[in-house]
Amino acid sequence: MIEQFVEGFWPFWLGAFGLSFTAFGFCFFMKTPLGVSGFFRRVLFFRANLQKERMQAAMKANQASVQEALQQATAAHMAELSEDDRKLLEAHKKVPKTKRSGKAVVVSLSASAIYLLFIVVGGFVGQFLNGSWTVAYQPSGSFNDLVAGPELFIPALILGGVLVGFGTSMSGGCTSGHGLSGTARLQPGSLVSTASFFGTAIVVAFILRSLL
Amino acid sequence: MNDQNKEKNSDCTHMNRCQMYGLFELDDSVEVWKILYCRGTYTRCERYKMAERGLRVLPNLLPNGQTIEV
Repeated sequence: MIEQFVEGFWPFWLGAFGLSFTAFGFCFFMKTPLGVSGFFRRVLFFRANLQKERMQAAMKANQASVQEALQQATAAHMAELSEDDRKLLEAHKKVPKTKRSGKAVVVSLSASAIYLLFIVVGGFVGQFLNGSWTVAYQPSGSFNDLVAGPELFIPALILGGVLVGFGTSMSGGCTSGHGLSGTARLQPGSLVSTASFFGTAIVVAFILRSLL
Repeated sequence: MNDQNKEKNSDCTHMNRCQMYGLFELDDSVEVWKILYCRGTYTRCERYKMAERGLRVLPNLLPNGQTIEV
C-alpha cells in the first residue's frame, strides 16, 4: 500500500484532495486565501516588508500617540480643504460605522518564508521517498526530443520561469492564488486568469505533441 | 468600468484591509477622511492609488499623501 503512494505518481483524486485540503485549511486557519506567489513576493522584498511589519507593530503598541498624531493631521488637512471638499463634507452629516467583513489578515514575512521553505522540503521528501532523487539535466519523456541537451534544456527552463514570474506578477496571482483559492471563491478575475493559463497550457501541449 | 463609474455610490474596494481605515473607525473626530477619501471619491486616495499600482503602502500613509509620525 505504502509503496503504491511513494513510487511514481499519486492517484489524481488524492492529489485533488490534498490540494483542496491545503487551500481550504489555509483559508480556515489563517483567515486569508492561499497564494504562493504572494508569499514569494513578500520574501523577495523582505527588507521593505520587514520595515512595514515593524511600523505596524509600533503603531499597535503606541495606539494613543498614533491617534493623537492622526487628530493633528486631520486638523491640518481641514485647514487647507478645497471648496469642493467643504461642500462634500457639508453634504454628509454622519457616516455610519462600516461593517467590515472581518479583520484584514496579512500573512507575515516569517510565515511566508516558512511556507516557501516547506514547499521545497516537501518536494525533497517526496523524491527521497520515491527513491528517484537525481539531478536532471534532461527533460523527461518525449520533450527530450524538443529540448535535447542541457544547452537547450536549461535556457528553456529559465525562459519558462521568467514567463511564469512575469505572468504571475501581471495577473496578481498564480496557480494557487487564482487556480485554487480564487476559483473556489468564484472570484471573476481568478476564473478568467485560470481559464487563460490552463487554456494556454492545453493549446501549447497540443502544439508540442503535434511537433514531437 | 472607468474610475468615475466605479466610484458612484460605492465604498473603497480596499476598505477591508486598509489599516488606516481601521484607525478612522476608532475615532469619530477623524471621520472626515472617510467622507473625503473612503466613500465615493476613493480613487483619489494615495493609499488606494499605490495599492492599485502594486506598490507597498506604508501603514502610516494618510489618504492625502502625508504621513503621521510613529
